[in-house]
Amino acid sequence: MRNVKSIAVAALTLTLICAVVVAALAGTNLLTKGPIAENERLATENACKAVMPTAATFETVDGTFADGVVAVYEGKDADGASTGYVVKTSTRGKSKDLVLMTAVAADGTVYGIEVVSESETAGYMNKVKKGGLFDRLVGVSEECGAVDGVAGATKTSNGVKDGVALAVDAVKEVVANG
Amino acid sequence: MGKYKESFTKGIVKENPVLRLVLGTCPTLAVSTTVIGGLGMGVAATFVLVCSNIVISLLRKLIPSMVRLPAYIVVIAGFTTIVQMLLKAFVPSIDQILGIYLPLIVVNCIILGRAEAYAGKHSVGLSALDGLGMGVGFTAALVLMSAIREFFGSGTLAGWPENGMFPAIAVFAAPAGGFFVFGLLIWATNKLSAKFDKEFTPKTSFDCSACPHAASCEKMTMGGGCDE
Amino acid sequence: MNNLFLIVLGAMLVNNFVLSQFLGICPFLGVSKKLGSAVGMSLAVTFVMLMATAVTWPIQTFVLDPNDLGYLQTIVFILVIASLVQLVEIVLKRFVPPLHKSLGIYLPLITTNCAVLGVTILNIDEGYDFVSSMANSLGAGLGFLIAMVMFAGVRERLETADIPEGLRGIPSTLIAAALVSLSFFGFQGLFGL
Repeated sequence: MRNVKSIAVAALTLTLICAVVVAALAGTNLLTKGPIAENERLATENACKAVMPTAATFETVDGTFADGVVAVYEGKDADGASTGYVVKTSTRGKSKDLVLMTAVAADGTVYGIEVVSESETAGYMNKVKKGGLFDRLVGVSEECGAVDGVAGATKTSNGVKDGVALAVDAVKEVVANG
Repeated sequence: MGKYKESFTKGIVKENPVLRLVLGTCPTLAVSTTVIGGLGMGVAATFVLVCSNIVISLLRKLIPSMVRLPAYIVVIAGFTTIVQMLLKAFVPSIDQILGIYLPLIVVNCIILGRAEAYAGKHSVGLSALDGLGMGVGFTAALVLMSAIREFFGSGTLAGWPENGMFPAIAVFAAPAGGFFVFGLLIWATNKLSAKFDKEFTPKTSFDCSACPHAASCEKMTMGGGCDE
Repeated sequence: MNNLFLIVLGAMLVNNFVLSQFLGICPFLGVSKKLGSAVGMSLAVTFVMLMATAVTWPIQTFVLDPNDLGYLQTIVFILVIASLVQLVEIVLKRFVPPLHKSLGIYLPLITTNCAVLGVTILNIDEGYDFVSSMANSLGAGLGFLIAMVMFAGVRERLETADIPEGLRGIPSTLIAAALVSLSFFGFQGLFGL
């Protein structure tokens, strides 16, 4: 009998501790939910602004896109007129998760590329940047794959080109569908 | 007064959790590639350590010993999640650097180890100081190790200067560099300890004396498992 | 199918849990002195990883996410893993005593093994579906096994080696681990992972 009682007390204590901890977590969550959402919004906005400084605000474009397209945002200037699109893509270079932000005009011309995050072997992305691939891709509106990569960093170059090509296609699709 | 001072200072040098007791090795190796990461992990773990030590010490007479470990784990997991949410909300850059290792503070054996070995048996004040001392010791060791790895591995210190002072030796920042630097640090610690402390005997193996599961480890010793 | 194979190999070699992600270092250093116990421990870890993923993935997808309770992830997962380990121990003891005798002693150690909690959280963070999550857990477990077996071999040699006095014990073990880890560095970039 005593055994049953001690088990009941133990279970009850544990349940009580769990309940108090969960309540504390729910409280903290209420407190931090706002700032966390705000941080995520700011992070996206800043990343978008880096490639499209002319826009004041960004709106997420809904729709389903090809694999590798993470999100499409439409930039709006202070008067609410469209300034073009920013596409976030995640492709594979030498390693996975090569995340880019590409600014594309409504006619499908690339005019800005920023690397958000990458896990390429150290130094390769720098090589690609110094090799001028990003400059060569700006102004392109089709056949990104035909642009010359950077020798010695072919896979990283291809990852970047794939991401930009995906961005161009996604924007063309958005514009075509109105 | 002496015992209060003792409970705080022992964690920093004499029983340094990383360099003397060789505990908490996972986060020590994983986040020590940059000084910012090491410092962030140290402070986050110290917060959890102090808070959980206080709460567990307060509850030590109420928790039946049968459910002791699960109860400790729940308390620690609670504080870990609170830290995670606070960092996400107010210092998102640190949250980014620590990534998966932030929720894994819950299984950091230093914290459960202190709960079992100290907070469950001592008063609130002593437990809080013990947690703080251990936390400071953990943080100091992490910062020291990450400074070495960042200096050689990236040529920077806490991200300065931006392009590095000299061509980096990438292997220091790689996983292998973590094991290597950790090994050398423990060697240096043993050397220095032997010089300043006559009674010092270096820990020779990864025994489980400070681990909350020491009892089951002894079972393993009979099966030839854990280091004797 | 091809994709699943890549996930298994990736978790096993490229992102080896122990040697490149530093998860499960305690058992890696503590239980690797003898080959037999290294294998036993790894098999127990793999088993618990698969079980834990099979339970935590549905909990996250069908209970926590729809109710906006993502912040309970850590606490729910660790409790699930702890109870699961207990349950496995009881079941093994009752129904498969020989297996309990060989694996049972490692089970209590696994509750606080960061590799198990780590793989369940990583599966959610990576956005894997159920099958991919299981593949990832299998790869992680097998990677743990490979690392343990390799390292047990190295340590048996280390026992008889002539090492400078100051480096004996823990420092030399860690430096040996660095060399084993360096060999896995070669897998980086394999399969474009």
